[in-house]
Amino acid sequence: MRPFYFQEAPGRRLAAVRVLVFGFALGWLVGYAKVVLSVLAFPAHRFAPIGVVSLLEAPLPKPLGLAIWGVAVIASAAALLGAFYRVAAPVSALALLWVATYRSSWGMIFHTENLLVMHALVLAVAPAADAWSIDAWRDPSRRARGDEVHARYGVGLRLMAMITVTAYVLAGIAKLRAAGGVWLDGDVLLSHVAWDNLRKLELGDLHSPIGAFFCRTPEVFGPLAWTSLLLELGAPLALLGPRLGRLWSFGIWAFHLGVLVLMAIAFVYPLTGIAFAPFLAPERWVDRLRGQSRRN
Amino acid sequence: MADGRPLRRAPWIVFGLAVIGAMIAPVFREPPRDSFPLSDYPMFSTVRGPAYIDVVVGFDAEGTLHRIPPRLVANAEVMQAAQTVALAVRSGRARVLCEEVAARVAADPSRASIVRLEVQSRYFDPRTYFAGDGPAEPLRLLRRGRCEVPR
Repeated sequence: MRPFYFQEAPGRRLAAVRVLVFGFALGWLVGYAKVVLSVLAFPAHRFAPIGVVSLLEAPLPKPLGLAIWGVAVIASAAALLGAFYRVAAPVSALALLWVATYRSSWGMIFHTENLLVMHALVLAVAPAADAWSIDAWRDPSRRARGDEVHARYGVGLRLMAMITVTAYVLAGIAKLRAAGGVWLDGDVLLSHVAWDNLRKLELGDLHSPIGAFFCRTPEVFGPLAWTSLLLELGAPLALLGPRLGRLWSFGIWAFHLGVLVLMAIAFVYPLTGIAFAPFLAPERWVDRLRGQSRRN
Repeated sequence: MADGRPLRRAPWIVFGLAVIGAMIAPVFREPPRDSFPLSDYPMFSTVRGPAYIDVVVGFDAEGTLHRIPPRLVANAEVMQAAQTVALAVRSGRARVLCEEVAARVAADPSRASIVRLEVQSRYFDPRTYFAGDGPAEPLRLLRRGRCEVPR
């Protein structure tokens, strides 16, 4: 019987997840820099610190905020490449935690980067640079370890999967707690799709014409509400086996695609599939690509 | 399976329990508390009834309404713009925000026709907003502040 927590996994699997997660973090920090850094210019009276930023009583001076972002970028690049990983990964994860929390410390709490930050924090303490890394390239004994299949590589992936599952279960509980069984008749979901699209229209932003169209057919929202809640509350099943994990990952990915189509809200981390990489075997994709290139 | 380096299980058990425990802790607060990255994930959970939405709108010389995009209100993020206007209304700073946005509108050549701005609280029922051919008119409207666009 497979152990629940200390499951074995190849070192290359953990390394592949490291590349995906820190690669996404780097892409988010750089690609989203304009938005992330714009809060540094917000007026101080709007400062409403949360999480780790609650340590501050006033906003950071702009140069310091910029410096922390810069550290996050450099450390994430190093963690992605697996260079000086034992230092780079914790620095990257903590700086990412700071930057993402600071962005949410102005009255609007975003829920799009929670999993990214939590996954990076787990990777920061996992031996994720024993393969496919500059550290492993420099150290042959480390490189040899990275080819092993061992629980020291699997446990971090398992915890990342548990974090993903917990987040979705909490989202399901929140719906039942706030709205009760009413959430299941679809009316609450319809009201959110309509409200979100009307808010975007009124605020001069892009909205989803598809979502607006479906607001005229309320009967579609009942099945959508049931499906959403089943996927969220049924998330722990994904931990029972690799097939269930893959099946659930696809279901939740489709759920996020639905949110994008109906509400024009992009949860990019799950939509790329990277949030579900701990349920998958991404190292096999690389192996397949290598096999193909050898045949060619 | 070779075993190059033993796995220390106890730290992973403690770390795992701490992480999952921290994640579920916000749910047990009364009321549940949202934060980052530890959240009770309240999005899409509450019942959305008719409500006010606070916006900044522009008018040209003929009095035609023009919507002001989020990037001129706060940044490119619509939710941050929404929160900026809502906070300004709640704290009685609608006029201050209006003038800040007016300065940005004045610097945007694509909005040269806009001559004045208003901070409005517009009341809508989400269930009826999309019922017609186009976006519905507000059911109620409160003007919170107004200003001229400096030219």
